[in-house]
Parts: sequence; C-alpha cells; structure tokens
Amino acid sequence: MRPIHAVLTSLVLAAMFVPATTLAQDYKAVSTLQGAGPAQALAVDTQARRLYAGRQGGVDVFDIDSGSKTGSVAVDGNVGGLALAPDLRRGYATSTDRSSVVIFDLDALTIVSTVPSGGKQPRELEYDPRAGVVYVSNAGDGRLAVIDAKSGEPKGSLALGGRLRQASADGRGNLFVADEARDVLHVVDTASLTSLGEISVWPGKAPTALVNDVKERRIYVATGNSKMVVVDPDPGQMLSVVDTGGTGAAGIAIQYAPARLVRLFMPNADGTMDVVQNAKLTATLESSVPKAAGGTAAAFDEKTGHAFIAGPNGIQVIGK
Amino acid sequence: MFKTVRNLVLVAFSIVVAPATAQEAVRDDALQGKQVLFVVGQTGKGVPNDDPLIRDHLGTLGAKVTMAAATDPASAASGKDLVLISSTVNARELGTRYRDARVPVVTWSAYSFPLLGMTGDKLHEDFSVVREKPFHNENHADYYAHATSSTNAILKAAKLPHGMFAPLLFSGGVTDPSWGKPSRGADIAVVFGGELDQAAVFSYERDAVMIGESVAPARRVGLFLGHNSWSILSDAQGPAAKDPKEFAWFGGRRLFDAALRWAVSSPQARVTASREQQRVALERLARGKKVLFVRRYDLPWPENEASDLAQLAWLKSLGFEVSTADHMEPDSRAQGMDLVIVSASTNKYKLGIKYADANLPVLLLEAKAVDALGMVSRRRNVDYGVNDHKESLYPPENYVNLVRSYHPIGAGLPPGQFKLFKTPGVLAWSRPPAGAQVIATIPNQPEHATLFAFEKGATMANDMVAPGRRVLFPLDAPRFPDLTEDGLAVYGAALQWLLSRPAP
Repeated sequence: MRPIHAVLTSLVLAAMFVPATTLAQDYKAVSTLQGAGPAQALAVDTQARRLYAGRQGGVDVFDIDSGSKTGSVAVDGNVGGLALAPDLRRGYATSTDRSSVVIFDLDALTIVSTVPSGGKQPRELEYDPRAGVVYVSNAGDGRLAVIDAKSGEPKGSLALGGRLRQASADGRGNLFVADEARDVLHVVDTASLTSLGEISVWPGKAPTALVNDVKERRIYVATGNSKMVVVDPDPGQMLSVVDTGGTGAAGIAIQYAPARLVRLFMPNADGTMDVVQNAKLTATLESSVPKAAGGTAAAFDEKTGHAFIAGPNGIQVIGK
Repeated sequence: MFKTVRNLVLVAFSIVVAPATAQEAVRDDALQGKQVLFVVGQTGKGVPNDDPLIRDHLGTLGAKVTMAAATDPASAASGKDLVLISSTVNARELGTRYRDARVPVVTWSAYSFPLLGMTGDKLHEDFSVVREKPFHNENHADYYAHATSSTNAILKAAKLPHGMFAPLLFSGGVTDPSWGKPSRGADIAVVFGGELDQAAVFSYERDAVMIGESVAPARRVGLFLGHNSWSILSDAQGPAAKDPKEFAWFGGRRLFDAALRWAVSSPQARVTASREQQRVALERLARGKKVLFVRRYDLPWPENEASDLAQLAWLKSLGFEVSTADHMEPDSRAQGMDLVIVSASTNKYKLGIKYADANLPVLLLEAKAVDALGMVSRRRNVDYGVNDHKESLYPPENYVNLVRSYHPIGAGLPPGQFKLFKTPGVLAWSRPPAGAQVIATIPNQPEHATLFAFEKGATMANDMVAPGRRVLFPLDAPRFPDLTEDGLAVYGAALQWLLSRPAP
C-alpha cells in the first residue's frame, strides 16, 4: 500500500511541475504531405486549395485537401522565398544562390521569366496587390528591391543594410522589413521608396519573420531568441513580448479567429513549433509542439484551420 | 595689504562658487556602469509582471543590476548608485527600509511612498493605486497625463515639452497606475487629470524637505507604474519619432529612462559660501547692472516710504544702478534694464498687468499681484492669500520653512525653519503651479508657498510661460527693515539668482 501511495504522490507532484504549456498542448502533427522533401518556403492559395513549397531546385505544388503532390516548377537554384499573386495568376520564387526571382504561371506551372533579384541572396518576397509590385528582401547585401508584378521589370531598390528577411506591406503605403542583423524593423515608404525609420524589436533578437494584422494595428515578429514580439506600428514600439518554447524561429503564419482572436504559428530551428494566441490585448503562449517537421517556414489554411510547417524532413500538417 | 589679499580671495572664491550651484544637465549615458539594486516581489498567478523586462532594459542602458527581495536588509544598497523599488514588492514587508539610504531611490511602489517619507499615508488622498474595475474612468484618464513645465529637469532630460501627452499606450490593455501627492519641496514633472495633487512623476532633490520635517538624504523619485505598466509605456519609434508631435505624445519610456538618469546624476549642491563671500559675489554681479524699482510715489504711510527708501539705499550700496518708476508709469520703463523689482508699496489695482510679459527678470514683492503677473491662479484666499491680513484665518508669522535649501536662493541655509523677519506680521502665501520652484513654505501650512521662483521658460499659471526669471519674495511694504540677517541674505541670493544666466 505504501509503495502505491508513494507512486501516486510522485505522479501528482510531477504533474504539478509540468509546464502549463505542455499540459495545454493540443496541437499536433495530424498528417504529413505525400512526396514532400526538404522545403524552406511555403505559400497557401486558399481559394485554389493549393500549397506551394519552395525547395532546392524547384517549387512543389500540393492539393491541400488531399495532401498529395499535384505538380512542380523547376527552378535553377535554392528557393528561399515564395509569393503568390492569384489575381495575376502569377507565382514568384527567389533563387537564393542565383540572386534571381523566377516568375511562374500558377495555372500552367511554367516559368514566365527569370529576373535579377536586385541584390545578393534574395530570401522572402512580398506581393503588394495595390501597388502591383513584388518586394524582394536581399539578405546578402541588405538591399530591398522592387519588381513589377506583371512584367518583372525592376522598379527601384533601397539600400537598407543589415540582413533583410520577411517584409509586409500594410496597404497604407508602408512596408515593414525584418532585419535579422540589426534587430529592427525597417519602415519604408513604398511610394517614394525611402526609409521612414526603424523600429526596435527589443527584447527580441534576430527577427526573421513577421505578419501584420493591419486592422488591429499589430505586427507579430518571430525572433531568433525564443521571443515573439508584438509591435504597435503606429507609435512604432514593442507592446508586449511572449517567451516561446523553441529557439530560432524561422517563420510565422497567422490565423484570424472569431472575436478578434489571432493565433500565430511559429516553426523553430530546433524542430519545435509554438502557437501564440492574442485574445483581445494580451498575447500568451498557447501551445508548444515538441516534434514538428522542422524549422524553416509556416503557412496557414483558413478553411481547414490547419498550419503547414516545412523543414528538412518534409511538410507536416498541424492541427488539433 | 592683508585686507586687499583677503578681498581678492573672496572675489576668487565667489567666482568659483557661483557656477557650482547651477543645476547640471542630465547626461544621456548617465546610467552607464551604474550599480543598481532592483527590489522586487512576486505577483499573483496570472498577474503580469514587467520586472524582468525592466531589469533587461536597464542592462541595455549600461547599468549593472542586482536583484533583491523586500526582506533583504537595507545594507544591500551599500555601494550601489541607485535603488529601484518595484510595485511588485510587498510594501508592508519592505517597511521603511531605504528611507534613510543615502543613495538615490526611485520607486513605483505607491504604498511605499509614505513609508519613504515621500507622501502622506492616506490612501486615495495622499497616494493612490488606481484599480481597473472600481476606478474604470480614472484608469482610462490615466492614459493621458500632463507634463507640467519644460523646465523640469526630468522632463528636460526626456525631451518632453509642457502639455498633454500619453505616458501609456491605450491599446496596450489594462494597467494599474498610481499617483502621489508630494510636499511642496518636490518637483512635479507629470500629473494626471490636471491635478497638482495627483502627481504621476515627482522628485525630491537631496536635502529637499519631504513630508513632515523629513529631509531627503539623496534624490528620490516617485513614478506611476503598476506591475504591467512598463511594457506599455509609450515610445515613439520609426516614422513616429520623426514627427515632433508624435514624439512628444508617445514619451512614456523616455520619461522612465529620464527619471532614472536624473536620479543618478549629481545632486544640486547647497551654497557653501560664507555670508561675506556671498556679499562679495553679489556686489560683483551688481556692478553695471540696471535695476528698475517700481513703487508708489508719495506714500501716505511713513513706514512704507521708509522701507522703500531703505531698500533703494541697500541696492545702491551693492553697486546697482537703480532707477525708480511709479506704478502708474508704463512698463516701457523696463527697456534697457537688467532687473525689475516691484515693491509691495505698489497698488495691485494700479499696477495691473504691467511687467507680466517683460522678457527680463522680475522680483515681485507685492504678493497680491501674483495672479496679475501670471505666477499664480486668480482665486483670492484659495490660490493666494495673506497671513495676518484683515479677514485671514492665519496668524502673524515671521518664520518660514525652507523646503528647497539646495536652491541658490536658499543662501546656504539648512533645510527647515528659519527666521525671515524679526517680528511676526503679514506674510503672503500662494499655491503656485508645478512649474514653480517653491523655496519656502509657511510653518504648519505645508501647501502654502511663500517664497518661490520660476525659471525662464517655466510654465506658470494658466499655461503662461515665464518670459524671464520670476521670484515672489514676501516682503510686505513696511518690512524691509524687519528682515533678519538670514532674511537679507536670502533677498540678496534672490537678486543673484535672478541676474544669473538661466539654466540651459
């Protein structure tokens, strides 16, 4: 009797000291996409029910609902970023080691043109439908380049310095660009293509990815030191910070839920994935998934409520 | 020969001493390398706690932070440059620790304000912690505050102009800010709700008289933060930092940093010169200076006439070039002058608003004209009044309480009461706005300032900006001969301060 009592006591005590995030964990890998290899860029076309995955040598296309691979586009080099323009039926992929941007047809899955990226080591892309342009973050030399979304013609560039990563346009004429080297977000006036200043992401370091909730005036920034920083873009300041479970955040995808709730899905380089929720005004860590695929990119499908996480081991579908 | 050498020494000393009394500017890197003791506690489950963020932030400013608990002995402050006390501490456990610490203390533990002698101890009267639910409206009002005067040292360091601004980000969620009602020995930088009695940021210089007779052993600052306020302190970055109005509006984090930077900067030193040295310094300053003495000509009261004439003689004996003007003459008489003295022999009704906008120093001796010159608001017996005057409830008085002994006008006197006049009599009082530097109050009337000054550019009553330095010295019409030796020294120190270069 006494040994059983001791065991029970131990279990109860153990349960008390299990981190709350682990207890609340309800997100898990619900499936793995068939035929997906290592990938480092993802983009979802919810209407077309397609997921695009950038990898070494090309872009794979998957049917979201069936989870099967339906096509691919061959790209010379390593794809480091993707953007989709469904209204133009165009897709864009950076070739990081070729310093180029490949423009492809979303329907035919054929290359339309390949244009210079305007800098070195291009990574993430941002399509701005209002301006009809694609912004290219050149991580290697800190140059932000602009290309015409239809023609691929260069429309200018801006030397911001640092190591540029994901950018996000707010539809009001501002573009926010994460700078992994300087721990800031650059604010760019898209009309004049000039810098309007910098916003510190302290206490975050090495920001790699961001999403911009334009209506709520919040930018969620995934950073490399286990912190997700919430920025109010109006005064331009850190508003709150969430300590995440994993380290080396490599991407971020947002889910807009009812009642002004948002969820942020962040894959980490250590193979974990964090889910942060921001209900009303206080962001909190909702879940930390210990064994996600990987740590390179994330995307979200509003219809199914599933997140896609890419990494060296393929692409996993994360859900409840 | 001996006398000549002695005089040379006095002159040299006066030259050396004068600048030492000036307020030093607060450096941007003031916290670099400073040892900070950060006294913190715990918050309840689910209650946000910004202490770790503040600790890390101090690190980015170059400070070396040591954490401490409320129950740690006060000796933990030994060797430190600054003690910070968070709202998360249990004030009951902390008690009066650090009250006597000769190290600057900055606290946002409102319940510790009274224990540190910084405010009285009545909740919601002397200090308050605004709670979100029962004080919903107040809480929301506290997202907006008022910077009292651009001449305030902390505001200056924060580059915050006078006026309304947002210390907290409204969209950042609920918080529980606090306020305090410090003594008139304090400098109030920021108030909530436009109320002087609800100071969001206030400070005591070393040697300032705080509540009761307690004297600040080192700089003290009270801040308004709650447990989770720091992370939502406003801060203009990016494009907002380039818009002057956005920069001024979102100044919460700059204000926090500035309060700490001010706290660790060198305190203002009390005048150490002897009376003789002060007299020599004043004579040196007076040389070639033109003073306009505004009075009422042909006074029907011999003692008032005698007092004016005695003052004029004394001013001339110091070396001033003195001219006189009747109170009915136009204030264009002040053109070309270095200083205007408005005697209490003037009649407020006839003086009117003359000299209110004079962009040169003004020494006002006619206390009833404080409102006409924009130094105090206009309600008689509320904003200003007089002891021992007709219907006054306050008795004759000749002592004053020096609450700001470190001010150059304090003439080196120690903090506390001193005899300004030889005999009890009329003594004027005022409730000047926060932009004033209150040098002395009336004993047992801690809210009644009787000797106060405005720096050039300070915000006076009704948002009027002082066009030049201003001093109210409570010298009623017949009382110049009644000044004590200390009183005359303070009068001289007031002249010296008025004629010195305003703080940068």
